[in-house]
Amino acid sequence: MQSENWKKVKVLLDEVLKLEAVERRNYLEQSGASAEIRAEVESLLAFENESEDLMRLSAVEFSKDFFDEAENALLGKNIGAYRIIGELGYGGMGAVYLAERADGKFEQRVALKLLKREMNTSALRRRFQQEREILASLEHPHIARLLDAGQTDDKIPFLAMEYVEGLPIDEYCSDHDLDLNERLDLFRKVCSAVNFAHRNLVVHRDLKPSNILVNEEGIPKLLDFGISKILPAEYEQLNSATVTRLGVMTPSYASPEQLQNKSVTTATDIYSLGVILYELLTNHRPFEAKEGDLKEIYKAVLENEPERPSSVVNRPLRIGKSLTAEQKEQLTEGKTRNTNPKSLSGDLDNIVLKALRKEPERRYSSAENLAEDIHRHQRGLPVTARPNTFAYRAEKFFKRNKAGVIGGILIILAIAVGIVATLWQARIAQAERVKAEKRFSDVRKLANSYLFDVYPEIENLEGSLKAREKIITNALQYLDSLSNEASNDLELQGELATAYEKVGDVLGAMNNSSLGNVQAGLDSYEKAGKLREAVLAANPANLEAKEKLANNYYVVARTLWNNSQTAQAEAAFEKALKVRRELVAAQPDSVVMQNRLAVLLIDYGAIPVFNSQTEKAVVLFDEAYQIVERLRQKDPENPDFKKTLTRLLRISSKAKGSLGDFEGGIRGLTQAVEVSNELAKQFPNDFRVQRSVWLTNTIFCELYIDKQDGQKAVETCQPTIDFPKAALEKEPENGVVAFDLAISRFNLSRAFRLAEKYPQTIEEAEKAISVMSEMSKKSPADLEYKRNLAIYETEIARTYLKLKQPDKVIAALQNVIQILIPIAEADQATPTIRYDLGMAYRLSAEAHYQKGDKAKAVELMDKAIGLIQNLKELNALRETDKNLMTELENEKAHYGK
Amino acid sequence: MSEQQNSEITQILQDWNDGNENAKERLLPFVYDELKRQARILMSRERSNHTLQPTALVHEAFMRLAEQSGIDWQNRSHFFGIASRLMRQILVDHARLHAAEKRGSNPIHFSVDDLQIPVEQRADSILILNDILDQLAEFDEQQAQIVEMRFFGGMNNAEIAEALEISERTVGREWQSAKLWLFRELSRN
Repeated sequence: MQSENWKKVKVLLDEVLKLEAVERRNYLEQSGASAEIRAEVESLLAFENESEDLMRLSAVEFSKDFFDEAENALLGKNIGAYRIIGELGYGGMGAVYLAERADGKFEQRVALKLLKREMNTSALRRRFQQEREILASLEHPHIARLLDAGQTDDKIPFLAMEYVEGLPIDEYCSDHDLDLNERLDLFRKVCSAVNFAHRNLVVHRDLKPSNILVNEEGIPKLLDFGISKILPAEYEQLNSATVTRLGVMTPSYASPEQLQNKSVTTATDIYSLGVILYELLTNHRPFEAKEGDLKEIYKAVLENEPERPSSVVNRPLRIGKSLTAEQKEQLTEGKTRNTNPKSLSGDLDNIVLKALRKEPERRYSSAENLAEDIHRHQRGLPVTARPNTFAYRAEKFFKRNKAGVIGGILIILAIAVGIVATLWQARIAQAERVKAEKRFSDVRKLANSYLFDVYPEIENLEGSLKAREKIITNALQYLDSLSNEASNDLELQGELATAYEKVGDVLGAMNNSSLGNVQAGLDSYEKAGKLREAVLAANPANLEAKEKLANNYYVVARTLWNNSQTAQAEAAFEKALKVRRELVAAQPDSVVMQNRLAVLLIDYGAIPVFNSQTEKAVVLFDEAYQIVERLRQKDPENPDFKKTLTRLLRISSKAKGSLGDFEGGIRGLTQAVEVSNELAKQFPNDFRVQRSVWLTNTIFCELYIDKQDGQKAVETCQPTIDFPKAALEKEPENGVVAFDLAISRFNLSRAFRLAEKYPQTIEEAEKAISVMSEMSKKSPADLEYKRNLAIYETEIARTYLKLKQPDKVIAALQNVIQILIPIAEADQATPTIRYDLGMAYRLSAEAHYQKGDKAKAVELMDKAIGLIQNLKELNALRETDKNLMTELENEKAHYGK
Repeated sequence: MSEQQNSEITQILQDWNDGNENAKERLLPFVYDELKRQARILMSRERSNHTLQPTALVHEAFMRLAEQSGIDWQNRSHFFGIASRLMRQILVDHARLHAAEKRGSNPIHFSVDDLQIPVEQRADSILILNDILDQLAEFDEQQAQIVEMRFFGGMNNAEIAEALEISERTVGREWQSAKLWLFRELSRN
């Protein structure tokens, strides 16, 4: 046919097909098409009905009966100790053959699974050997055993399994027309097998009807148990990824955690059991309508609640679902197995849905419990499963205690996912909006309750770090999504800021238990600050908003400072100070406001103390001291004022020490120790207070080190190890106490050096290094950790210098210099880094001199002098170092002789 | 799959992209085995609860190749086109093998109900359909391609539309008339 004509035929055909049969002739006649075209169209129309069926089937389906013939080459061949006697089919992993022992050792029929060739057979065998004991222990009447693993002559790996004759459980049920009770009995047997395996620490991971065969006696046997133990994880992932992602085997039985590649536990099998039970009861799978589309099925499994079994049981079987002959017959006769929906509604609905919960820990805790609940239902006893309503969740949430926190978090997350989906739908369907807004506010309340009620309760509890982090990030996640929905809502923006700050606390705050990821914490604080500024700008007279902004700046400043970002820290302190002074001016009678101002001044003052800018520090401390004195006169027992006072005493004593006024320092610290011990007695469970005692003692110890009093230093430094050491054992991920421990060990190391106990010096420094490098590995961008490492290493170098081992000195200092140079460049505002670097060159010079390399020693001294000279010009040298330049020049001259 | 094979496949796909028809022939040995294996897997699933989905088969073959070769398959639909063509070839090859053995048996009837077509005639039916499809391609190549993708490749209208860069509605219309034409031609045989 001419293409031209065919085009015309197609156009006309398309029009005609839209019409009713009676109208067609008329239409064709009036179409103005040529007789030839019309005849062609009419000729084609004659096949309209018949052609429908033809193309519904696919070529693959059509070809299947002749396709196999040439391919059965393996029959009769030997594989390992087995002879192939038949083909059983294809599994997800490869072909499965029926085989028998070829060596006649046993009369045994086995199912041989051939695996992908690319698997590493020796690893497979090794794993099989390793797991042999566990697999051997899987001896259960309802479990088909894994017998052997090996490879064929042409290196195809295989597994040999006990051969089971039977029907997949779903087919068995319909073929034998089992009633509800019989189905439940059968299913409980399956549960017992799964439970048995779980108790032997074997998870199946791929439970589905085709893996549960039922023989003629009605005995179920589970296939493939233990395979997951033997196959490497990446193999399984690869397998399930290709298979599930593509819908070849729709992931009908896979749990949410499997689809997300999260860790698979016994709860995963419980979920699959839930799907199987659903199917046995209703002949439908929970999300079968979505199975055609992979995205849809993922979404459904992860987000949608399955419909109750009782509501789908009478639904007709899906067209397109391949049916057994039996089912087809039932369909054509218009009868599916009639289960009364009433017999499912209530208990069985609840049982199935509990097994199908999205959150693994909210499912049945074991297959045994699942079976037990079913059995209770069968005997008419009340079951443990409850419906999963919003009211139920909320109730559970509000009743929850500390122990339940993590479970509750997952509820939040589930609701959050639900609410986002709901809101999205609301955009499409206006009618849904009201409902969505109702839930929106429900969830907001719920999350606020988390942030403002639950969090503070566990905030200062030791060992609660993980729980806190989970609460926060989850609450934040969904607040983020809410804020997208309501960006004009100032109150919500404020809540969001709080959430960001809490996240910051957990990630980066140095004053409390935290995970020590400072930069992430800072980012979070700064996001919060932006929101707070916006809220205040909208209403500048709002003191509460102002207060929150001041706090935000303060926390940012402290965190920056703790992270050695000195210039930024000072800027943030200035911002905080400005807002704080405004707040005091606005509320002149508020002692709280004054106390906060004092605290801010003290913390700010730490920066100039550290950087040896003593005059600036004195100004800040003086103002703070006057405030605290006034407050203490009003209320001497107030713990807040006590805290402020210890803080001030600690830091000002430190400043005195570095000015050379050791007696003044010791006096101040003695008082600080006294006051902080009082507080510790008052608040025995408050981590901050306990840490404050440690901090005071640490500063005391450092003062004796500065004073070069070795014996006193060892005495005061030794006990400071205990607190962070114990805290770290309780909470190994707590970055703050790890840092504290490193510092304490380093101090003790220095004390030992002063006391001339060199082996202990090196030992403690090395311990400090090991703690610090762990932390540095976790946060490689954190300069403070690196800087500390360099300092500790320098300590070791100093000691070797005393021991006259110059090679070890030089080696250690090379590390130090390598660490310090990039940090010094990155952080120009912190002069102490350059000081440290200068001292490293100085020590290295001395070591080279010890070795007799005078030229090198002079060269290094020049570098040291350059750095220190620069610091002197910046007025950034400590009082105790006022003669340092002269000393350096003298040393250089000495080496140069 | 070896490095060399990878680069070879990449090259072949490139050629195919550039319109070199014989690239298909060169690609065949690489893809053929995989598709054949997949076809067997699919066919053996009749007892399972899954409909036979050639789409899935093609997807699977595609993914496995992509995975094994480490090639970043930019043009997914492009591959489906190739895969459908290959699938056709595989099935036709098998039908030929089969028909050769039974040469001279019954005359062919393409019945309305596929289930009534005797097994020994199905191979021949595939061969006939193959011939008819070639005829169709002579005057409407795109339509023949649509049939090939749908019947042999198991692709749905949306996938075909994407692969051929036409609208889904057009695919539906073309399929409608193609179906009528094919069926009439089959009945004439």
